[in-house]
Amino acid sequence: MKHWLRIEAVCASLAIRSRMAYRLDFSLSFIGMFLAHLALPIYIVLLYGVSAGFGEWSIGDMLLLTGTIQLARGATSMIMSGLIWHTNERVQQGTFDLLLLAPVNALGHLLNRSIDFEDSGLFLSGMLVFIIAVVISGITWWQALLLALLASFAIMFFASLYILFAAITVRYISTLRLFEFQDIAAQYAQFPLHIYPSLLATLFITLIPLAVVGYIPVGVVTGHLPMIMLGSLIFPVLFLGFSVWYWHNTLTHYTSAGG
Amino acid sequence: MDIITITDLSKTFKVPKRKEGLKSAIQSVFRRQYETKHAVKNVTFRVRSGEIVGLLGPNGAGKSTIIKALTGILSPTSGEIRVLGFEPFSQRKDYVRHIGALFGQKSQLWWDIPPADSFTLSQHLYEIPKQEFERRKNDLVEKLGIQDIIHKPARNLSLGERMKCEFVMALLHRPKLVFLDEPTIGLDVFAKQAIREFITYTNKEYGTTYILTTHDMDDIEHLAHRVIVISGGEKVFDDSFAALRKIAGVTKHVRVVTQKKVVLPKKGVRGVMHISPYEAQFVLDREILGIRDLVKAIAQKTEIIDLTITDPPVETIIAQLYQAKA
Repeated sequence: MKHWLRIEAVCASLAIRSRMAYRLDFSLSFIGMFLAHLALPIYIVLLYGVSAGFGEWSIGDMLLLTGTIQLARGATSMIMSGLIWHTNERVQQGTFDLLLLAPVNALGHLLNRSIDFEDSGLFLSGMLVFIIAVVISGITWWQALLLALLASFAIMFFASLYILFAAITVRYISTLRLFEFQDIAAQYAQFPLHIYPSLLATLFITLIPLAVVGYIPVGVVTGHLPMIMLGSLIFPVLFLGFSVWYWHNTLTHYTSAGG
Repeated sequence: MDIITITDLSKTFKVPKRKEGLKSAIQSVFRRQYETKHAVKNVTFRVRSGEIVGLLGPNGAGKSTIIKALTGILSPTSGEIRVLGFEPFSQRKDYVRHIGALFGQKSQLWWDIPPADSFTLSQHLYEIPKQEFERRKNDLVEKLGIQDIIHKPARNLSLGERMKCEFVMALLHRPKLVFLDEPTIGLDVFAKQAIREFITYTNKEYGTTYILTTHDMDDIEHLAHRVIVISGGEKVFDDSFAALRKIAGVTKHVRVVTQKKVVLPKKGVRGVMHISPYEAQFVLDREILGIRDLVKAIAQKTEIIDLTITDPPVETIIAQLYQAKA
């Protein structure tokens, strides 16, 4: 782990140096990402101004939900968002082979090489919304800290998606659109589960555990849901285990590009 | 001492196939057909420590697949591979620490930053102590004469300069065994020469064993202690370059353009094709007539305007090997 972290630090430093070669592109991406992800919280504020909103969930609770999800997505994206396109590019060009020549875990090294700081815009917007939501919702800073800790399960969920999609890319090549499924998942997770039909709501707790990304942690911390609901946090752990297994299984089927 | 032992190595791939046309393309979305391609068939060979072995063969012969199986990138379908005491695919993480690899058409350098920065990644990947890293880097950089270019972004370097930096990247951790896949592809004569000298230097100085695949007969002639010819996934020859030369002959393909009508010597020249009275293409048998004597003979009659000398295609050599076997 210490070795991996050292390599991660070197790759992060190299990634910054590399990105600074195109400063304007980096700045525009960062600002664009930051502003684009402020749109949903603004939309929620506007919605609560003209309607009853989402039942028992106050505007503060909703902002807390959005902030938690964006914080988790931002944290995951900074380290992992490059994973899918990076894998895709490497598999297509045959440079995935070079990755397998490094004396470290292949997935770990791919993560090292996929670090992308322009997604820090998403992380910062999530952080901003989260802090504002903590103030508006009236939860204590201890509860906020607990929520931030529970967000690690959301990070686990998004990380599982990235790993699974990267593995699919190695197997089937040119599956960049998979990236959008992560966006779709996040969009469905942005709302309290009670607005969905019961079948879909059950699905979002179990097989496709979108609820653990924000709804369950925020619901438990704000008192809308019983503590027992935290038991469903086992699903992202299982999902991560499955994704990592699928990744390793995929490597045994890797055929490499010709030449 | 043998450091590589390959026994009956075979590798097959499942390759999708479909007929041409739109209908077939749409059908393949729902029902895809596959065929099995035998990339490598029952290949067996050994390599001793300190050897430079050339893998020669046409495109699609299976050379790169063998290299990828040897480096642990691909799992063998059947057969056994032992390299430096490791089973490359299943022990990949520990095994690759002892080998180096350079793929002529795939770069290990970070594109937008100077190679000197990329080298630091190798330092941390292989956990080379700082002082030792600096010493090895300076040694390699000096030997390749690239002190001035390692601080320019990799994208601004010429192919030859980049290849030299790739060599530094591949050798910083002092691997005992290095795999080179087409290391001189696309390089000019001077860059090729520098790379060959460097390979010879590290082989002699550090005892580094090299396995190289190439299309370039000159690479083989200048570097390889032994040649293994691969064709259709099978090993068809395994001996010294001198033995290959005996079987395949020592021919060169020559194209000459002259001031006045071209007159060629009668001995050592065959397959002459006159493109015009002033231009001809032919095959030169160097065992009968050397290049210097050929040039001298032509220049005695008329001034040479242009002269191109190339190796015969690998396919020709393999055809000759099969003929000799028959």
